[in-house]
Amino acid sequence: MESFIKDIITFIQGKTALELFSIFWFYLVFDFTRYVLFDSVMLIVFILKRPSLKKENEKLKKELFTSKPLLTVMAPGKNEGKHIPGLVKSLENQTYKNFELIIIDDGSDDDTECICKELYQKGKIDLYLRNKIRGGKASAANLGLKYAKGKYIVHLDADTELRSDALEKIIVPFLGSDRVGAIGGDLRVFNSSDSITSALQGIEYMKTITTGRTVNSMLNILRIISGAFGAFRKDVLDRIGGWDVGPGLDGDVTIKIRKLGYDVIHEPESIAYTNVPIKVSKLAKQRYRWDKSLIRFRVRRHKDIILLRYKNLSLRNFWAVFDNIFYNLILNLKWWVYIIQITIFMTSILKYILVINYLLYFFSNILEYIFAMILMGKTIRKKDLMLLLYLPLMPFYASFYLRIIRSYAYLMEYLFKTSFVDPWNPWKVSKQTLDLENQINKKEKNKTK
Amino acid sequence: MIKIYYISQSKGDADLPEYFHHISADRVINDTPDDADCFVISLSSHDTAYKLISVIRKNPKKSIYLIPVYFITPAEEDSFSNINKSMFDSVFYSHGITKYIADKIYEASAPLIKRIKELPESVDTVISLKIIKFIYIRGRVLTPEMTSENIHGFIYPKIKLFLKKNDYSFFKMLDFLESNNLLRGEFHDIAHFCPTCDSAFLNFREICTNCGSPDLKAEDLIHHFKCANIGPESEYRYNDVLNCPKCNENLKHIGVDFDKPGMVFTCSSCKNIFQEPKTDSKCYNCKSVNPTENLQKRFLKKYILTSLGENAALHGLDSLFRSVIQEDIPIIPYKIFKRILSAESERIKRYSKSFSTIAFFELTQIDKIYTELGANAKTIFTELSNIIKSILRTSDFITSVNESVFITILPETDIKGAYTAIERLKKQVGNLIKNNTNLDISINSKVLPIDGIKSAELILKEILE
Repeated sequence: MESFIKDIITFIQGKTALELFSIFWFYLVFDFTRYVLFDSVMLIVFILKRPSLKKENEKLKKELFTSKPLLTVMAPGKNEGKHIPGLVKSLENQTYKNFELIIIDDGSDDDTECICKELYQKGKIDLYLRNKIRGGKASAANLGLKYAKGKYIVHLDADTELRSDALEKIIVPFLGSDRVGAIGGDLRVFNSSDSITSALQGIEYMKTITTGRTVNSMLNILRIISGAFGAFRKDVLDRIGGWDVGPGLDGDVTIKIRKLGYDVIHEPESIAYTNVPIKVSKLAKQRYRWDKSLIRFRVRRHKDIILLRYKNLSLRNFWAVFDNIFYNLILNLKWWVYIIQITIFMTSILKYILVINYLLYFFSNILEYIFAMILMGKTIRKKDLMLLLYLPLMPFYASFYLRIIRSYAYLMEYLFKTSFVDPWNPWKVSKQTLDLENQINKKEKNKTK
Repeated sequence: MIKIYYISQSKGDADLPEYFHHISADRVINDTPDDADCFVISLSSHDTAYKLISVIRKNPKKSIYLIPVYFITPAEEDSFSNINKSMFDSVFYSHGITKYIADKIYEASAPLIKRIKELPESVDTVISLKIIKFIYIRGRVLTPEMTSENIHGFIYPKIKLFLKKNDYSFFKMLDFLESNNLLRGEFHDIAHFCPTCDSAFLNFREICTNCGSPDLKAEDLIHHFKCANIGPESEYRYNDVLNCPKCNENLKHIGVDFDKPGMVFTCSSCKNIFQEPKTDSKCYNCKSVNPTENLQKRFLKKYILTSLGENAALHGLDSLFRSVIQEDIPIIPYKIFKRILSAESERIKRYSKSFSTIAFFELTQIDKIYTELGANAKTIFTELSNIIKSILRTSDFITSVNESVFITILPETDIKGAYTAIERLKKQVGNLIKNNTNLDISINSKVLPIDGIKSAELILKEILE
């Protein structure tokens, strides 16, 4: 072991800076620059701006509690009955009370109906809507939207638990600007201590949501409001006709709001906890479903942005989509090129490269973890601190496990449009959506001809 | 030979069998004869017919209220409701009596008349007893019928005429008879009644979950698969086609490109939206509005006479014990008992050698045995009878004043001996009741000497005081 470390040091000392760059370019050019260097700069800016932001938010909070606009909190889903009492309880503890709760039951076949009816009769749920036939998440959300009375819609997953000031904090930015169309809450992992898989997701959420979306929001290139906890202006949702069929409907609705010219922002102080898969296989299925949406929506549905065809295109919208496609799709492909490059052309020094790469990514993860901890501030839980122990596993998780699933999802979606046969939606809905997609493609081809 | 009284407007119904006797409606109404085996009413006026049968059934004499009554009417069959038909033993649709009808009546009434004659003569003022006897004679079954004649919405046509108009306590009476095992109830139907006035005429309404208004608009929800739009049908309705308000596409086939996953109600008063309206009921009778869960839910039962009920029909509601005891012990009529007492008193006076006594005993609360044990009461009564039989000698005389009061002459028995016998009776009856029931039945007793000085009347007066 000692000699191997000595060998690595000798290997590094034996290379010039240029030679080292040619070996570790992928990390240095993309990951380090984007997620460490850039994020740290943005974080410093954010920290500097924080006192004035807080002051502004205090003013808006007073305004919120004076005007008390009605919020509609809605949670669509199938067989989510067991989570609803918990959701109701976390809503009862909210500092902001002027909201209605709508539960949309998308054809549940368990005891969800009984649970919800009982809560409705007790007055804990304001409106319980049930689709006797499952129609998919989008139609369930649209049903809630149809009968929502609130000025703002807060969309939740039924298993989301909110901090007591989450509703208040997610709404405040709407009062600061008419340009804000949607606001994402800071989602954290509730069950991070359940398994190694959930712990790794705990770190991932801290990096990609707490830090990543805060930075994207500052740059005004935020491209997704998570359905697990996001707030929308009702009039804006009405204008875009609500949600379209997913999977990936959260990203789609965010882009549509951006296309209307509204800002989409992340509010790191509005905190909600969600449960994540605890098994590797279940996580793989979830990510496979999520990752396909990049091809389906960013590359296909909203290609007018990336191809500069959208008539009201703004630079920030272009950048938001480009950043997404570049870092997730192109770099993912490039990563495979890099792996092939070092495997074929640097076989003799492969073991040094892999170890050094691992150390570099590990170092990045430590820094990113620290950035997230700084942003989380007083809201850090003991659970979050314990995640430190899992940081050594993060390079394997992020660089291999997630990348492999992502690459496979992109490939399958690109070649076979597999999201249209995803059992996440009822088959008849998927079939009709695919027909629509093919019709659009046909029309576009004819236009080009 | 049976005797049928025939009430008809015309006197010209020739060729009537000899057992048909003309009688006027007025005569029946004013002084119903008790020597008839059957009444046949042949009138065009239904009102008079109802009046006649009502008078007959309301009469307390067993020989009148139980007898079969037939109605011959020129009206069409459709003009009669089941209830009105069921009040009579049978209804014939004819302009007058014919031989065929007369034969039919004879045939149908014969078994009824035979059974009525098996019952002892009685004057029954208790309606429950009249009902028991009436259904004992007529098939032992009491079936309810739906009706708009009363607020309960149903009636037992067979017993309708025993009840006063607007007397609806028959629910309780039938429940009582069932709880005493005289009738056995079987499920017939279920009905809801107003908790305020007991009316069955209720207007069930779907109402708003918020303000309770029944002014609701109900619409199907439509889900367009392609664009995930969902909303009430009215938003899709454009001329005669369904057009999606989100993507502007015409909907084609339900189940293919759209479906209807549910309904939505909108309250016109408060604009509340909901999928499952509450229901309430408004009473047509008292106008009170009640949530459906507050309505009185009642099982409508068909009642069948039990063997205990048959017994009560034969022996009366209160005389089961007496009928049982009579099987083992010769209970002599009170009048004869009085004469025997008088003779015994004379005998003692003449010879001045003997000591006889008269004892009185009363089983208190004997009716409770009946109520508590129902059909099993007969077993206890048999045991009681056996105890009395074992204590009395064959030379003793016993009579009953009523169901529970007995007097006995104990010849050649002094006061001490009579007390001993009564004490044994008390002890054995006490043990029987204690071991078999939770009741507290005691025996009141009194013993007097027959000394030849006091008359039989005076002795009886003293002992019954």
